[in-house]
Amino acid sequence: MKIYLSLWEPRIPAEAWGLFPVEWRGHGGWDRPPWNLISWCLSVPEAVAAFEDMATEAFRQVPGIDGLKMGTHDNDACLCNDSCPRCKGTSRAELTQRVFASLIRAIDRAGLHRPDFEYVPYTWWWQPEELAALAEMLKGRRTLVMSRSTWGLKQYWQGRELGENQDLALGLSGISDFFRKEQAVAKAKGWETVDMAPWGHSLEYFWLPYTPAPNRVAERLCELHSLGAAGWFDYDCGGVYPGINTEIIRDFQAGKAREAVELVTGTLARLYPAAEQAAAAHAYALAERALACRPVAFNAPDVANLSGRCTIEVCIGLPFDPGAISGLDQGHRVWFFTPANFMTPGAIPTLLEMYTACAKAWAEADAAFAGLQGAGVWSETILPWEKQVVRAHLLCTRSALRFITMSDNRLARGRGELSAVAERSRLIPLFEEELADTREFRELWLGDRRLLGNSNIRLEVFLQSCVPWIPVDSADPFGSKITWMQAELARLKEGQVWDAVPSFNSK
Amino acid sequence: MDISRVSFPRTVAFIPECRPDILSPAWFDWLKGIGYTGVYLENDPFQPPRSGNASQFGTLYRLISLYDLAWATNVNACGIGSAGPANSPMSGI
Repeated sequence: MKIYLSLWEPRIPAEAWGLFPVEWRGHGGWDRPPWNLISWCLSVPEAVAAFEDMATEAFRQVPGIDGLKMGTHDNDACLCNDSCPRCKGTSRAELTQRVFASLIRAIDRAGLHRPDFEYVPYTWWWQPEELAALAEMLKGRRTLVMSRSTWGLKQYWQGRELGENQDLALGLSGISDFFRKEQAVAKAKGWETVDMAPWGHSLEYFWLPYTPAPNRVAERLCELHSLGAAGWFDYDCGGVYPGINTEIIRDFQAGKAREAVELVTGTLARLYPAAEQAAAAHAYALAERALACRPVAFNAPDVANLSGRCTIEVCIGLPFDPGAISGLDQGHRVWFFTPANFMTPGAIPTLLEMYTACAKAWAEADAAFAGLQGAGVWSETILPWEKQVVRAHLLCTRSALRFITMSDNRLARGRGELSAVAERSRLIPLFEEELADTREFRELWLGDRRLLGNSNIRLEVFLQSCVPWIPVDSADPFGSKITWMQAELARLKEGQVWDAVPSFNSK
Repeated sequence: MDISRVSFPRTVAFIPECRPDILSPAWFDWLKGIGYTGVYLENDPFQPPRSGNASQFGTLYRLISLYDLAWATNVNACGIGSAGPANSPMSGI
């Protein structure tokens, strides 16, 4: 097994920014002017020298690694933009080149390079010209270009195009033009191409471990192989779990089939007795139908990059407070994944449609999985886990649907279409159902925390940042939610309303 | 599985949970059994969270950075680098 180190550079952890001259700081990033999120401006010679010294020292500490995965745009790292007085007018290709030139000089100074050392430029948010600009400096070095085969794929819902996927998706079929273009660049340079594969935690269900989707996994494996890709790196907020998706990967890697239907049929035949294979195939098809109802490429006009941030399934951990709903995408002010950010007039109608269909599909899938027995080790150890995953999807999707419904009601009040009393009467059954599902989910999660979490973002801290006005117990966030919502429910049942704002009509 | 004979020669896993006990021999064996050929490290499961001062990044796990490997105050304490043995995923590599 090879060990790779992943880098997001140039960056300094935020708590160390004050240790370097402010004048070295770049101008750019994800936020807004005055663009102060970038650690290093690589147009400042002293900053470049310091960055290279730092990288050289760092690489000396890890002499045995087999490769470096190197990204430049995300996770606190970003290049300057035209608001930087020093970098203004410099092309993105040139800026990317500077970062890699520094990194490669540091790799050589540290003695990390060897003939089989692997250089993995990660092209997330790059354009093909940025990749092409690295050709000269990577000449003679073993290079794997890491692209994203689902970035840019379109999603359709009831005959209409919702938008283009801006992150990773498991439920969309096909290989994006973006991936094909980068593969062409790579091929011309003699480089290999790998995908970033969303087997776990893709943006359709970021906080949930995976969707059992054998057909989608098999299709992607077969397409990547037929295109000549060298393989994949797991999603950097994801990873693989025991389950049907992993069994498909296992059989493909063992060379058991090269065609998707044959691969899935063979894997199911290995895991289920003959009499159960049709029922198993049906259960997985239902889960895949539910997956297709997630709004992974939906980009509402009044939400920025909903496709890359839609993580509404985490609502199962959130205390439901209508006061959190503003009707506006408040961007990064609290946390850019905060579900309340997505509850806008332009998003809610489509979200209601899709999550209603998604919850229905998960309910059918949950019922279909409940009767499966499986065979052998699969039956004893992994199928019970997979059934829990399916149940978690159902509970999380129903919760998300309630959150969207609550938000719809709140904005209807703002439009003057709903009174405070009417909102209260709708909230009471909604809270009762949400509490029932949260209690069930809490037991599941306390038994196996993989059912809601992420390897990149700490769940408990995230939940607290979404509702800073409600104390969240980090050891039992679901308990905090239940306690808070029970108290609010009692108030509502006593005839109280959330506020005394009269009805306004803007028309 | 003999990973020198798998269909895709570059299949690299990510740690699905940011916990130190994930990095066990059993996990590596499991990955090899599926046909994975490598692992990449991006977050440090041994590091305590550090809040930082930049909006949402305080909710992330500790992203491994060149700064941490080279200069951070916790280099020695956590054993990253030449200063010490230890419990970092980088140690001994």
